Amino acid sequence: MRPLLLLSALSLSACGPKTTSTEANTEPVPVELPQADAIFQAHVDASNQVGAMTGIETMKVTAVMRIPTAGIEGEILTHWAKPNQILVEQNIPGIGSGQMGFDGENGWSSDNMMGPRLMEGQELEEALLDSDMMSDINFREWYTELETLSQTDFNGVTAYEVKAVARFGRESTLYFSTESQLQVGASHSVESPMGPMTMEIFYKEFQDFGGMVVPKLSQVKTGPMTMELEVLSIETNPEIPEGFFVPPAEIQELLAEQAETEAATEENSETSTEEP
Amino acid sequence: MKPITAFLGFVLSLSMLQGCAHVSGHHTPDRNIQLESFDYAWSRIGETYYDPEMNGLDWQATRDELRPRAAAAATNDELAEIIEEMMERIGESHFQIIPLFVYDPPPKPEAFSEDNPTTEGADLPPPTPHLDFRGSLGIKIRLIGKEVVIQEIQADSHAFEKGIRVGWRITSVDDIEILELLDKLEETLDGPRDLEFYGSRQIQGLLEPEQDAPVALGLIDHHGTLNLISVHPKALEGNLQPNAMLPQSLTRFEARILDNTTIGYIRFNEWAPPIVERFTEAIRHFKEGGVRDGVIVDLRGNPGGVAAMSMGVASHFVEKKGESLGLMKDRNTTLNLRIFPRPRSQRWSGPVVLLIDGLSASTSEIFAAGMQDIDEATVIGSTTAGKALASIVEPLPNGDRIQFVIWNLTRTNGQRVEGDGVRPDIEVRPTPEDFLAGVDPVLNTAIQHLQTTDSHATPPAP
Repeated sequence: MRPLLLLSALSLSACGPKTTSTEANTEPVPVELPQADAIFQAHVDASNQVGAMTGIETMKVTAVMRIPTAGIEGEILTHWAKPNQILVEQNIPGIGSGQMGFDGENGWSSDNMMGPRLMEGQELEEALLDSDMMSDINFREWYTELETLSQTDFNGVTAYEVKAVARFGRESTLYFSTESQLQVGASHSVESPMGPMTMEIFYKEFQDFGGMVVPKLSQVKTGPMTMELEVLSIETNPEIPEGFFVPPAEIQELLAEQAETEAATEENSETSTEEP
Repeated sequence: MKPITAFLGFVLSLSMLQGCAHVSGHHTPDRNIQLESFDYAWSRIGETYYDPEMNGLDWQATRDELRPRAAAAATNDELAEIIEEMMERIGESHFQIIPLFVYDPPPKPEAFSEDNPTTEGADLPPPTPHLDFRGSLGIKIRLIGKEVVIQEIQADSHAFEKGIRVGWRITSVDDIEILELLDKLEETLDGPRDLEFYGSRQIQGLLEPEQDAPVALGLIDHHGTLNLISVHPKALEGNLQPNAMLPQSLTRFEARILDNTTIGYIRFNEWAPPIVERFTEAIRHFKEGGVRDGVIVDLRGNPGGVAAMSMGVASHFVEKKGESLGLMKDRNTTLNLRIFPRPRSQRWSGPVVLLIDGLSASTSEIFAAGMQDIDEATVIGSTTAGKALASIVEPLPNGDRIQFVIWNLTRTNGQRVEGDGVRPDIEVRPTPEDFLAGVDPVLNTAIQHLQTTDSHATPPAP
């Protein structure tokens, strides 16, 4: 459940085969480190995602977003349906409202500042990952490379530092508590509408939501701004009306225009190859 | 993760409201809090200002010099002066202290109406919320040199009823002699452009009183005769805009088809979130109303607002993907003010003219510079204020709020707008005589440009 940073606060059971890191350890005394795959799997186990997600077809997550230093607070409501349909609605008084979605095929966003737009490139790939509620459980499909880097202090928590390369090329550093085995943080560059942004994420206050161990609070630091996301509730298998994930008319219009452009480009390409 | 990423598109680029609202402070006697507030301001700016070299200022020495004075500050007012002195030394716009009382008690946001988005010119009636009392004499002025000329006057205002007209010059407001005020202000400023910007804002502020009481205006009329006329204010009109960090403001938006033309005309008083949707409505209205020759966006007097909105507004006028209005850089990251073209039904594909003047600032400048750079608009008027940086607003421990710069803003070629401003493609400056004659040479030039330009040979599809 990547979208709200919920289930991605995984954990790892302490077991699993152990290997040494391929990079120098920051600890003065060498520590035998578990393999990254085992660390990730332990996290999935500790957060009980497999058990909790069994039988779940839809989900609704209500959260609140805050930027404490600026006194900003707003609601984020996420609906998800198996396997990968998602609609996120944001409403921040004094800033604006917006929606973003993935209907299983197209990723899109529309807000009252930037207007409607289709996602492309890495942003779309990230949307695909975000829309997969099972992405942690299926981490071996999503990550082509996992490597334990070190055991380190992460924001006051002793954690394994794991390099994770997503199948679309994004490289992240993930942090898993050596004690709880849950994922306690991450650091990576994400593709925003305004370009790449580096983010540090801290997962805190783990709680049981519907059988899953999830961070109630996530802090996201990007540049000089820090925001918090607090999960208020997670509802499993809520009824979601048919067509709920269909993009709004303005997005459909953009999709139609994109199809027109692609068709014209293809036609031009065929014409030019026919020329002597 | 994704929703947060997307949301950052809002947040990182918000704030940046007009950095020049001039207000005074109030008493808070706790000196520890004042010192804590000073330390907070110094630290936050030192940590986040886009230039780690602090624009050449010795930041530590500045603290060492000013901190003892901050420790002795007895009131928020006194501390605000010290912090503002510290920020002024950086030498850039968008630094200010906003007193707590501007926020407290907060105006009631329920007066905001999404159903009544426009105030004049278009086909929707205006709501008239009140912020306790925020009045207006219905007079809009223009500073030409040191002459304060009435540029507009509302026909339903008491001032109009008393016979005051466009083109008259204001010499005094209550007991304030305008020339003296401008002379004093000039001593503290860098040049005529700053005088035009800050002087106009200060004098316009005098014409928007916070008390429902008559204001005595000294005026020179068409015949050169000095008049003293007492004018009653009326409540300012507009949609109450609840800003996340800055004081609530009254947003006004006007969209209409200019008489005897097929030209659409848009103007608005600040870049607040509802404006983008109003643009979408206006473009639809223009297309349905037979607008053919072009669209004019009048940014004269517009002091800016939320930077991210420049992208949403530009997306109504740009068809080509991948265009950008400029770059926003903090110490580690460069963000792109990227334009995502809207669907055809929401887009205007004909000619666009932007009107600017010395009071066009911040987001207005970013928008004008970007549209100029990508050849999507002809810019007409006079050079803008040159106050274009991106800031955020945070509360200080003493309750006041501090607006401070985090991001440098540049054109896509790296050139800054801060300081330089945006130069028009066609320079037109109105004279006092133009106002007396009821002529707007800038608008007239824009109309003429659109009516004679070849670029409307193929009218945009409805």
